[in-house]
Amino acid sequence: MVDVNKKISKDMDKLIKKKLSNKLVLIVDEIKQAIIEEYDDELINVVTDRKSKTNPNLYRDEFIERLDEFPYIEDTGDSLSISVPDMNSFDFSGRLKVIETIMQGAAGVYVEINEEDYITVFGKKPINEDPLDRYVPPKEKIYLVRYTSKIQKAERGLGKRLVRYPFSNTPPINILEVGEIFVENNMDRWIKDALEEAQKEFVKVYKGARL
Amino acid sequence: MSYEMSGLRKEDLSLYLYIKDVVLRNFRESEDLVSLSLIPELCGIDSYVYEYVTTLEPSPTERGRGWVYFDDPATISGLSCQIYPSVSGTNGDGNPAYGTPEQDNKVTLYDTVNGSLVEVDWQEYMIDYIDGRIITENKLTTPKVSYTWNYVSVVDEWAAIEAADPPVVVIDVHGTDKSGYQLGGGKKVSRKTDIHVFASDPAERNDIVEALYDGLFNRSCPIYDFPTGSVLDYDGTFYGRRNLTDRIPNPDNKLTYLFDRDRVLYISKLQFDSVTSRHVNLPLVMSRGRDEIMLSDLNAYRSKVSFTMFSYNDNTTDIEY
Repeated sequence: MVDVNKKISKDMDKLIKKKLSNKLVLIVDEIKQAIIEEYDDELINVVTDRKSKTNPNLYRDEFIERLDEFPYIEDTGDSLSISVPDMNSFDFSGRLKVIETIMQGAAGVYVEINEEDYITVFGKKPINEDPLDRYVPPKEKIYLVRYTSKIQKAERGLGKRLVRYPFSNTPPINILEVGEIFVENNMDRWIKDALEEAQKEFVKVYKGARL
Repeated sequence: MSYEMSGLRKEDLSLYLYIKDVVLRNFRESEDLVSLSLIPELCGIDSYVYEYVTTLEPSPTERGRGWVYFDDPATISGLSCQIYPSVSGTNGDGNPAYGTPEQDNKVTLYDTVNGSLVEVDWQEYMIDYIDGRIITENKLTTPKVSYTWNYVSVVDEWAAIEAADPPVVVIDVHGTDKSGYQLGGGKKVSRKTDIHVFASDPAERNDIVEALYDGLFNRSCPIYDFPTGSVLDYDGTFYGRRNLTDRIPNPDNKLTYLFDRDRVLYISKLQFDSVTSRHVNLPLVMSRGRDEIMLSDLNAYRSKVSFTMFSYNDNTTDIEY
C-alpha cells in the first residue's frame, strides 16, 4: 500500500512538472514578445534621424537573437525554475553594447563621430575605447563623444554636422523590466492552471483503478 | 486652491532629505572668511543683498548642493535614522511644533569694524542657503562669511545632472505597487527606486556608493508630513525665517522657526529592502589628459544603487495615501 502511495505521489509530481514545463515554454514566447514590443515602442520609435548609427533598429535582429539564446527555464530534475533577463543577466556583449548604453541612460549631449573624423579632429585614434561596432571600416566605426565647444568648432572644420546621439540626456530605459513584471503578475495563475490540468489528467489516468 | 502633498511626494521628499542630510553628511566642506560682494540691483530700503565670491570647484551653490542649514548632529548611536536634535517650539507658520532649528554655527557672517572682523548678530541678517547670499538690514564694510557646504549634489531629476559638476547623485523613484498586508484595512506601499551616482574619479564613486549602500541597508527613515513645506522656502531662506523680525522668537527655536518633523499619521517608517549596487561602464570616449579636451567625465565614473522602499499604511479612511 505504501508503495502505491509513493507511486501515486511520484506520478502526480511528474505530471505537475510536465504541465508546468509545457506552460512555461509558451510563457517564454510571451515574455520575449513583450520585451520586443517594449524595444520597438521605447527605443526604435523615438529615433527620427535615419543617419544615426546608434538607431536601435540596426540592432533589433541581434537583440532578438540574444533574447532567444537566454536560458529562461532551468530543469534540475527535482525542480523547475524560470528566469527573465535583466540588466545584469542579459548578454549585451559585442554590438549590443550600444543598446546597453541606451538602457543605462546618458547625462549630457553626445554626438556620433567616425574614426576618420575623430583622427582629423584630435590627431590620433581614441585611446582605450572600442567603437560601437569594431568589425566595420573606419568610416563606419562610430564613437560617442560629448558635444563640447571643441567639437562644435570641429564641425565647421569638417564641413558637416555630426549626428546627435538620439539618447543624449535621457534617463535609463529598462525595456527588460516588462518580462519581470509579466512573470510576477502571472506566476500564481500559471501554477494554479498547471495544477488543475495535472489533476484532470491524473483523474483520467487513474480512473477505474483499484488502489 | 490648496491641496495636500500626495503620499509619493512626501516619501520622495523624505528620502531626499534623508540622503542629503543624513546619509551623505560626511561629504561636506568648509570655506572660511570668504569675501561677499554687494548686488545693488537686488537691494532695497533697509535691505542689502550680498553674494559670496568663490573660485571653488565644484561650485558650492551649484544645483543640488548649497550651504548646510542644520548644525552637526549630536553623537550618533546605533541605527538612528533621524540624527538631528529636535526641540519643541514653533514652526514656520507660528504653530506649536517639534523639530530642528536653523543652524547657528555652520554659517557665520563678519563685518569689518575699525579694521577688525566682528561677528554680526544673527538677528540682523538672513541666509539664502541655495544661492549663497546674505540679506542684511545694515550696510556692511568689507564683509566676510565662513560657511559649510554640501560637496555632493543631490537632485531628483535626470535633466538636472548637467547643471552641476560631479559628484552628482540622482534619486529616481520609478515604480509603485500597493497591496494588502493584513485582514481588514490598510495597505503596503512599495516603490522601486534607483540612485544614480556620477563621480569625478573611481575613489570618489566608491566612497559615495558605499555611504549610500550602508545608509540604506537594514535602515529606515521617517516619512515627514511637511505641514509647512520643506526645510527651505522658495527663496532659499530657512522656512519662516523671513518674518522672524515681526514676531518674538520662541527661545527654544534657537535662531528661527523649526523645521517641523511631524510624521504622517498611521503610516510606518519608510523601510529599505533589496539594496544592490552596480557600477555602470559605458562606451563613451572620456578625457584622458590635459591635451585632450573631449569630454566631460560626467558619465565616466558612474554607479547605480537600487532598492525597494516600502511602508505600511493603516489609515483606512485616507483614499489618497
